[in-house]
Amino acid sequence: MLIRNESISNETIKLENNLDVPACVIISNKKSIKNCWNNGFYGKGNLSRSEPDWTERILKDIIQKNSGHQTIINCLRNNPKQVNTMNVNKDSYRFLNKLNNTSITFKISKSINYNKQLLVEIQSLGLSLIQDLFSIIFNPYKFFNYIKNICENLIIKKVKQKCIKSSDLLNMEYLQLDLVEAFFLKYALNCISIKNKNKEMSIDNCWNKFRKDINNPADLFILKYVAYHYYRSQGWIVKEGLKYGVDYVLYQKGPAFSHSEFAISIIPVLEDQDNLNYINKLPTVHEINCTNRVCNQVLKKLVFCYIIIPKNINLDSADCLKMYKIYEVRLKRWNPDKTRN
Amino acid sequence: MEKNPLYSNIKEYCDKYPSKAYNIFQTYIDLYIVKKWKDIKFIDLKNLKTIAFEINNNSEENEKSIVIPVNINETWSIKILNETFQDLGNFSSIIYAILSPDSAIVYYRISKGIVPPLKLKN
Repeated sequence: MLIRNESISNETIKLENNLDVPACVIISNKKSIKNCWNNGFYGKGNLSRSEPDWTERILKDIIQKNSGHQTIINCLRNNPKQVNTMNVNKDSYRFLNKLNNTSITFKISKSINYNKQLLVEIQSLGLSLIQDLFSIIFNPYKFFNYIKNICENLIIKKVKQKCIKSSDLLNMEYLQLDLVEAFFLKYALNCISIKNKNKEMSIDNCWNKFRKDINNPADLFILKYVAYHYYRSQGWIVKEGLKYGVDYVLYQKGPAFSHSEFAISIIPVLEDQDNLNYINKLPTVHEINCTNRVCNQVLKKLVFCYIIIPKNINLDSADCLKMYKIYEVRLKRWNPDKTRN
Repeated sequence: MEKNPLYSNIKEYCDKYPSKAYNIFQTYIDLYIVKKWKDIKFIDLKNLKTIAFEINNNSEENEKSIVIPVNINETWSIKILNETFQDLGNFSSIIYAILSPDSAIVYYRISKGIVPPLKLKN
């Protein structure tokens, strides 16, 4: 797979599943993934709910499992050099030794929570500054946390070194772009290049390859693309709505900032002056109620997006998309009791 | 897809049903890596032309479950469901993994007949 490592204006992306209609478009280069995600939240990590951060989550898990007193003690024992060189004044060892020899007992306030065994270990390694000694006396809990942080950083460093050596961890997750998203980036923004078996695809290639039935003006790809392009060009972040029973959900700023506000359901209509000619059966009132109920439960406002498909249209190039029209209807449940006053 | 370290586990199945290769792959890594069910067996469903996964779920009473990956655009019918149940033998319920084009998977359990809610082992 060839990915060019430049800014988003030159990303190279691979097409998945070369038979008939491809399944999706994949980005594996880490820099490209960051570019795509940070500049408009395009795509979804295939092992994550949205942002492709599977590697970070796994590392966090490992660290959580590895923290705890016994591990910290082991860490201190095994890496005395590294821990010693962090902020330690060598003169303080002599002071500590003197204190140990004179066996002065320090009064430590009972209300402070600390781990006696750990403190003994730390002291036995001769780690303390005079400042550290004071913190052990007056605020042992804070000192304990300080040492804990040093050890955790050491553990993270070790684990990362082990993992990053093996490319397995890096190759596990990639960013997956929907065909619609990829076509938008290519056709509307022209900031990526898509490769199929190392051959670059032109806009016309993509236009022909992504549609299932090239003679059908109501092909699902076209309908979804028209809606996607429409909402994206208004500044909404558009994401798949399968989990909510709708076609798309719209975010104002992005999935990282807040939940999506609107749920979009597409209804295709054939343009006809005399009567409305729906492509599929219109959803029944019962179905509309069900969808609305689901959307209410997840605090989204339901919008029906009618896409009016022009008659006798030439589907040879993607420019025919300009002839499609959109009409929106927002659905909201009206409760006569609550709105009386 | 091929670069993923786990691809070798299911390569033969992806080659056998190339039109469903993406579905099989994505469901497999979702079950293995994200849901962390390591013990996965493969069942060949010839009439559906895909591979089903058998997983061991220790928190439920009937420990073994079957997961079948399907496309969002596939049509189902009672006839096909019946045939699938017959082919699989003694499973009373199947889990369908419905794949969305952006790699999200939604799982639905379909049981034969009316069944009480699943009991979880404590």
